[in-house]
Amino acid sequence: MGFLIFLLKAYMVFLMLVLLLYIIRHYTFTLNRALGKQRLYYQDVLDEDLPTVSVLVPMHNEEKVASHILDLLVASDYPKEKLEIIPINDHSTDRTKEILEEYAQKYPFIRPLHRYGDLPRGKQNGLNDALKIAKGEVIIVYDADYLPPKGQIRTLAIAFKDPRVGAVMGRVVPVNAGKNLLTRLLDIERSGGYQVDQQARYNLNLIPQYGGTVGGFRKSVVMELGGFDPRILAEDTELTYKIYLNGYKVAYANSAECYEEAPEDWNVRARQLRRWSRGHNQVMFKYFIPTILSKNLNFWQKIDGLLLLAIYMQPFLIFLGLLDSLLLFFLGEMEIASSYLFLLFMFAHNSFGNFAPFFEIGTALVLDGSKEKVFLLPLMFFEFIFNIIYASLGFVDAVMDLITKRTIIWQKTERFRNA
Amino acid sequence: MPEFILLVVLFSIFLFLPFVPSIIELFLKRDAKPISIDPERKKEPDYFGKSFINLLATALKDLKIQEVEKPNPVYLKLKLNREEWIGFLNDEDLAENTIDTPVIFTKDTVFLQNHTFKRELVVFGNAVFKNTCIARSLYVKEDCVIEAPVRIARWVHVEGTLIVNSSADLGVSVYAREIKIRGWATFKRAYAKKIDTSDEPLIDKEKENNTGRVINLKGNFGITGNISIGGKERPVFVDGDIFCDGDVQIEGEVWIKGDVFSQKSITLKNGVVVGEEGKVKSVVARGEILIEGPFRIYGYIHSEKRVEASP
Repeated sequence: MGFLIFLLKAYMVFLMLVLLLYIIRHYTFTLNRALGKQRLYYQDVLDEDLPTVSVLVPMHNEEKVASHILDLLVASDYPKEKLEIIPINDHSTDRTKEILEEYAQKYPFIRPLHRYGDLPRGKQNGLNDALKIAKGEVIIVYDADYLPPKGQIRTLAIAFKDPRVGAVMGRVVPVNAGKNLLTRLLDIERSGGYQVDQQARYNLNLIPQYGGTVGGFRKSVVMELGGFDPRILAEDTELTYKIYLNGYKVAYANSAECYEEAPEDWNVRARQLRRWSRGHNQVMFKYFIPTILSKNLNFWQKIDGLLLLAIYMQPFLIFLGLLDSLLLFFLGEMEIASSYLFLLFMFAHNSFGNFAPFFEIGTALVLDGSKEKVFLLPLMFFEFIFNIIYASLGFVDAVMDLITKRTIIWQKTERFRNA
Repeated sequence: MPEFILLVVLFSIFLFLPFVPSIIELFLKRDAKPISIDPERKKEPDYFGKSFINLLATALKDLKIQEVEKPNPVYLKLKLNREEWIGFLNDEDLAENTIDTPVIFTKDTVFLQNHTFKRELVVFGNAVFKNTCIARSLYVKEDCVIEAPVRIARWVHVEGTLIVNSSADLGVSVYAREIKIRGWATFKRAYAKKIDTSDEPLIDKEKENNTGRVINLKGNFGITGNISIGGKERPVFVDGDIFCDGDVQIEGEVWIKGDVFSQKSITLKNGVVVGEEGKVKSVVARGEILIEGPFRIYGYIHSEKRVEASP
């Protein structure tokens, strides 16, 4: 019994140290974004010698949104002789195929890829097949519900003039932000994630993440690294690590803002979050050791890289911590350390440390000029609980994937837009 | 018992209190829209001048005015971004020393007197500044010659050639077909097919290649620290782009055919050429850009802080 109590107490100390690391990370990012030097993105480079670009748009039953994104891509100011658009129709059973064929007939630079029959479903598989036929030096990826502005392909593609850039990431903004409580919370969460988190990681030369949409990568690099692993659901996170471990970097374009459709239903969000967590944790299992051993990453990149890898394991650790604290409470063993200084640390942590993500989101909203949205911050508490549950389930899924080596089936996020 | 109920009520109020502002915002929806993204957004170096002149053209078209001639001066109330008075003049003598409204000179104008134009200054013809002038923004339909110190706060748009023979603070954004800096100029960004200090060729590639003295570097360069390229003793030709996290210093007979980009500052001195005829290339820095001539840049210069250029 004594050993069990020791283990339970040791876990609490371990958890607090882990959370402390994340708190330091979030405060560092926020202060850097608010007060530090901002690293320049490449949007001000005007150059007529642009790379050839293939825009890939993975689609599975996207009849509600397909024409919206294709119209916007057609309107892009990128030179058409250097542009091709490859919508990837992945086993659609609705009108997606017909819509794509209509556009292909009208615009010769739209070349749909239809995937049916025995071909395995999933974004990674679709991207791998599309890479085989894509002619562009640079690949830009959009999810089907995205609404790219006219100049965005150029803004993203110009980053690849820098030979060190392996991938680029733009900023995602929910177009349906005002729809309901969930979309409003996702809107402010995205704001914190991009306006502060991603930009600060770019500023500090750490590891900004390629997010799999509103972003792109150098085709030659990805082909050389073997394309996307079909067993990994978070192909974007995997690519981020592949790129850094092979000596390239990800550029973050805060000005490349693009509307997306955020989930409007808590069940849909739960499935999306669980899938993200599962995929991200798969990447963690695969890249934790290589990140530590990498010769292409500096010390701070390794620290940030490891904390980023473990970000979807953190809710599971907190969940265990909650159970642990309940057990310790009922065992009458709440006194973990008997020093008053330790108590002071606990108070400081609870009154200041726990607010790090809120501080980050609040700063992002101020930078965005969305000051009224700051009032929504207390409601993030409920999303925090929601995230703990579904990210933890995603972690368990990833552990099961690791143990059983089971086949992974891609689940598409449901769309809410009217056709 | 009443005390217990009171405690429960108080506890509930204090528990609920942090969420009150959230719930008010949730119902009132004072800030429920996503941040605005312009679907038409693209990078345009002539954005300011073009937008202003489009607004003006639309306003004049709405009034069905094709040409403004007499009497002189004419002040018309037009709707640009908002409704406001705009002066139409065809003689500099009619302009007061300080003018609060946008002013349009309808023909070639030589500015012999000292003026402060608190709003946009437009010349539908050639413009020559022979005396000190201050303006918020400047649009010139043809060529513009600056012979005396001029200070522009925001943007300069010259459809023809801009020649700076004196010292000039050209504000945030400069656009012209060609920019010839023969005096001293400062700005934050400038775009022209050619920006230079001299009409003379700075580097004769064929001649230099034949002498065998040239150092040729091919490819795009990504540099983590600082970089210094010196072409004092032997000419250096870089057939590619330079992307640098540190300071960039280029001096002497150096021809960079691609872009030059720095996360810090850029210094170009004594004979540097960036880009090539007929192509747009860029010199971009987060810090200052200092250019001491002779120099020639085909395309775009952009500094988050300030560009200083002199022959």
